[in-house]
Parts: sequence; structure tokens; C-alpha cells
Amino acid sequence: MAQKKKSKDKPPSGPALLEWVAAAIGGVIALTIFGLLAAEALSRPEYEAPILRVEPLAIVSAGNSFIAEINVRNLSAHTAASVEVEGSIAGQSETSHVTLAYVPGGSERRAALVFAHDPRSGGLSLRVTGFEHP
Amino acid sequence: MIVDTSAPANWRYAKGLGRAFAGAIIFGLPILMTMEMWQLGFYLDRIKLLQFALVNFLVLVGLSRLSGFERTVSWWQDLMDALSAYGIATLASLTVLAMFAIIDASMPSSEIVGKVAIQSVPASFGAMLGAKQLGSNDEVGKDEERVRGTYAGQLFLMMAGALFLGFSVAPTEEMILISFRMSPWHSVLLVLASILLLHGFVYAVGFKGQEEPPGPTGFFSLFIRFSIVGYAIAVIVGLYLLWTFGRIEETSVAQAASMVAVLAFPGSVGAAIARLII
Repeated sequence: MAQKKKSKDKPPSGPALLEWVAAAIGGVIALTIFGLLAAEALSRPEYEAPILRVEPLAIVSAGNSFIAEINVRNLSAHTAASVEVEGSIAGQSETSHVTLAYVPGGSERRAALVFAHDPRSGGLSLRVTGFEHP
Repeated sequence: MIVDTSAPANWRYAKGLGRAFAGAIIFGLPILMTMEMWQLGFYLDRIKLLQFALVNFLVLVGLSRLSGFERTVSWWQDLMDALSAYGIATLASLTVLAMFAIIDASMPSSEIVGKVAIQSVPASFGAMLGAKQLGSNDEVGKDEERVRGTYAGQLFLMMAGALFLGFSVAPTEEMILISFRMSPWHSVLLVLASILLLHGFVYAVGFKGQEEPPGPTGFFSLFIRFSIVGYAIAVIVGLYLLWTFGRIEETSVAQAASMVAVLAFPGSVGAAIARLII
């Protein structure tokens, strides 16, 4: 106790208790992040084409047009950029397009297609027509 | 090992943690609100992201030696401070990204971890500097002044500055667009301007903590040892960042050189200013 000084100019006798707590929490966080990144780096195959699945969610009428809410899901671990989705209605010549900036690996993104005819009448078909590698 | 359980010591460290959090937000915000940075979090190759996070952590340990939370007496204390800064930066990034709805519980863990790992880089710089910068200046120890005063210490500071400022612009589309627009003559001019700017800072800003720079102080000596070497550091850091973000693979040498010239401009400003700020 004799060594302990209150003066601000003196260096502390050792790390404060809080410093140990903060460093321990930081250490757990750092190890978690590095560990998760390393695990993913090791498990991920060299190349795997993004597998994109597109499905309709709901169709609502808005004024003179019909909005088809769609969901694009990427089943692979690889991100697809500029994902183009085309929708058409059976028995109609009308097609609609939408481009999604990114669909990250293992994630899903929502978008909407707008039609002049009611997609519920004929049956809506959706497909991904292309994407970019980021 | 002695653990200080006294209230004043713990209170002082708590204030340091608070300042670190503020620093993380201040340095992190421009990056937290940049779209390319979120996207990098999910598409960047995991090995590259991992090595970038580890390099960032090593720089944090070095920064702790030169600046940081408090006077450090040994390498393990620098390691502890780096861990604290990294922890705070991660929590700050996670909080802000969640508030912006950039991350949510429905996303796969790889997307969340990737986004947070990218944001932790500038935020942890901010946490480490904020702990000291927003506090009182007289907390810098003699040992830090000594290390900071060495040539190697100066070069390390320049590297850290180039890394921070370069990182905040390297992933953006504008970086590439600028290099497409510039002619080779523009690039040459930009290189010269970067070196002149760097040299201007070496003179105008002077050397913190001492009146004379280490070593000889003649014009050519300073120019070669600080400005030219500083620019070389900015170029190497620029190349490293471009490689990390996958910008130079499958790109022609001339185009890559032009991108490096563009990135070395903020890099050299960062290198020059780091000696002032840190």
C-alpha cells in the first residue's frame, strides 16, 4: 500500500481490474470474429455458382397495374451481383424485369415486378436471366 | 502480476473506454454510412478478410505502443489495449449497423460477421486514437515519446495513416472511375503533387514531441528519408489495399499503376497527417 500513490503523474502500479475485464471481453470478440472468418475460409469451396431461386410472395392490384412481390434466395455461399429477374404471365405477351444490386450468399432479397395484366389470371412464371460476379 | 483494484485507477480506465467508444463512432461513421463497405462485408473473399482483420489488429498493437489508452510498459499491455479497442470498435459497429437496419437477425452469420469485421477496421483505429486524442495530452508517457521519436516509429505512424485514409476510399467505385478518367499525364502530376504535399507536411507540421527530427536535418536528407520513403509507404499500402479488395487482379499493369497513383494521394496525406494526429 505504501507504493500506491494518488498522484496522476505516477504510472499505475499495475493494470486496473477494469482493464483486464475489457481486454478479456475484447479478446473473446476478436477470437470469435477471427475464428468465424477462418472457419468460413477453410470450409468454402474454390468456386461454386450462385444458385438463385426466385418465388412469388404476393400479388396485389394497385390502380391500373398489378404488383407481384417476389423473393430471390441465394442457396450457395457465393454472392451474385446485378441479378436480373424476368416475369411473364402465361397466355400474355407481357414480360416485366427487375435488377437486384446484390443477393449475398445464403441470403435473400425482396423485389417487385409490375404488370398491366393480372398475373393471377394466367399463372406467373419467374426466372433469373443473369447475374454478375462481384 | 499486480492488479490495481483501486477506484481511481478503474475510473480512469472507464473514462478511457468511454473516449474509445466516442473515437470509434467518429472515425467509423463515414465508413459505416458507405454502401460499398457493407457490400464488401458479404462478397469479399474470407481469406482476404481474415488477413486484413489480423493486419489491422497488429497495427492496433503498434498504435498502442505509440499512443492508445494509457502509458504502457510492456507488450502484453499493448496487446490488452489492442483487444479492448477492437472489442469496443466491434460493439460500436454492431450497434450502429443494427440501428441502420444494415444487419438484422434474419441474415446468415457470415454476412453479419463480414460487415462488422470490415467496419471494425476504421472504428478500432478511432477507438485507439480516441482514447488518447479526446483525453488530455499530458497522458503521453516518456517511453512513447521515445519510441515515437525514432525513425522506425515515424515510418510506422506514416504507414498507419496511409492505411486508414487509403482504406476509407479504396473500396469505392469512384476510385476506379477516377483512374479510368485520368490520362498518364494526370497520373504523373498526381504523383508529384502527392510527394510535394507530403514534403510540405514534413516541414510545416514539424516533429511532434521534439524540436528536431531524428537524424540529419538537411533538405535532401529530410526529403529522401521522410517524403520519398513516406510516398513509397503510401504506394505499398495502396497496392496492399487494392489487392485486398480484389481491384488489381486481372487488371493491366498500366491501369493498376494508375489506380495506385490515385490511392497513394489520400495515402500520402494520411501518412503526412498521422504524425500530427497520433
